[in-house]
Formats: sequence, C-alpha cells, structure tokens
Amino acid sequence: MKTFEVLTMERKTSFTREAAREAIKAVYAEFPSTIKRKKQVAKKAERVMSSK
Amino acid sequence: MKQVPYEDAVFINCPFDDAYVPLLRAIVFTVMRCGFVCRSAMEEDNGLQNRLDKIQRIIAQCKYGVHDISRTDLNANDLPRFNMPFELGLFFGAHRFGNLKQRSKNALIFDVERFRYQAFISDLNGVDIKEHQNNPVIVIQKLRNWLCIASGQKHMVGYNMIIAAYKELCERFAAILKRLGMDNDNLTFNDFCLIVEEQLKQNI
Repeated sequence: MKTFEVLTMERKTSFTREAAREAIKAVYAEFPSTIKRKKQVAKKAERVMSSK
Repeated sequence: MKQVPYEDAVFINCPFDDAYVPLLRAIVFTVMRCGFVCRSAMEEDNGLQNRLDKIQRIIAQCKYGVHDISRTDLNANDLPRFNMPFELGLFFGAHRFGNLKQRSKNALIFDVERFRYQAFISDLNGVDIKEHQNNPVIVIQKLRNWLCIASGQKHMVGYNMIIAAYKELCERFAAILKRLGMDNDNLTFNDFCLIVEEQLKQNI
C-alpha cells in the first residue's frame, strides 16, 4: 500500500527551495494553519485519553 | 537528475492562460496532495529543444494524464488552439499502440460542460468526460476521486481536506510571494510547484 509522502522533483525555479521553505514557514507562523492546529489538538486529546 | 517513477507522474495538459490559472493551480495542488508529481511541457524551457520531442518524452514518462479540452475559443488571430486535443491524442496513441507500460496509462479529461465536446470533437463520443464548470472546487473533487480510483489507493486524503488546505494556501499566497520577492505575473509553473511541495511538507 502506498502511504502519503510529498514527492519532489528537481526543477529550475526563480528562487531556491530553502527560500521557499523559509517564506512559507514565516507566513504560516504569522497566520497559523487551522487544519494543522485541529490535528495537533486531536493528537493531544488521543494521548491524554490513552494515558488515563 | 533523479527520474520521477512512472507510476507517480501525472502529465498536465491544460491551458496556461491567465483565466485558467485558478484551475491550473487547483490541479497542481491536488495532484501533489494526493502524493503524485506534476509533469508539464512548461517544466523545461530550452530554445534548442524541439517542443514536440519534449512533450512526447514527458508523456512517455507519465502513467497518468489530466487533459482539459475546454479552450475552444478563438485567440487574438481568430483561430482556435489545438495543443490540448493534440496532446490528448498523443496520450491515447501511447495507450493504444505503446508497450505494456504505456498501455497502463490512465487519463482524466475535463471540459466546462459534460457533453459539450460532442459539438467539436465527436471522436471522443463514448469517452467519459468530466465537467468542471470552471470551478476549482469541482476540479479538486473530480481529480482527487479519479486519482484514488485510477491508482487503487485506499487511504487517499478526502477532497474536503484538500479543498480546505488549498484555500489556506490561497489566503497566504500573496504574503508568501511577497517574501520571495515575486508576484503572480512572473511566477512560473515550476515556481508554483516548488511552493506547493514545501507548503505540503510543512503542513501535513
């Protein structure tokens, strides 16, 4: 079974991969992802429930 | 350069005009979010390279193809563009006459309305064409469902999650471009793919 992974490809771009990574990181730090937050809350709840 | 595996590569045969950008970006995002790689004639720009050779080579390297034949309007010279139907024909040809690997090809064909194609390319009668109504949300739904069935993946992310993540990226896209010193007008296909790759790596 294939599990999800982000497949990348070497591409000629106007900026480097590192620059894109930093820009995205900075913007998502300023405007956090609600999807990611929901997943984190769900994981934390699962940990708390399983430790009881 | 590392070659993308045939089974993971999706050939994008769609219009590249400004009006199509929202749909094209939705297609690229969905393909990548579902775990595949986008390949396109736009990924290489070499004036010494024969364009048709390049397209044929990329098609041969892709198991899957997303084809949009909706651009039937006349251009500034009062002539229609034939590139998309032509490249769809190449894909059909590879599937029909190629070796075993090429015969495993699978395609999704989009038009604005489901049966409109019968008025301009009746050879496709009997082929299941999907309509997108120029709506990126419909594109994401139909593309995700097709990829799921075509690839046989049982645990692919649902389209509601993809739509939500794509909307989040769209809301932040101007700020990301600003930080990169870019704007929408000079952003290439490769640039957008790279941003999506990195965005997915950080936010999945």
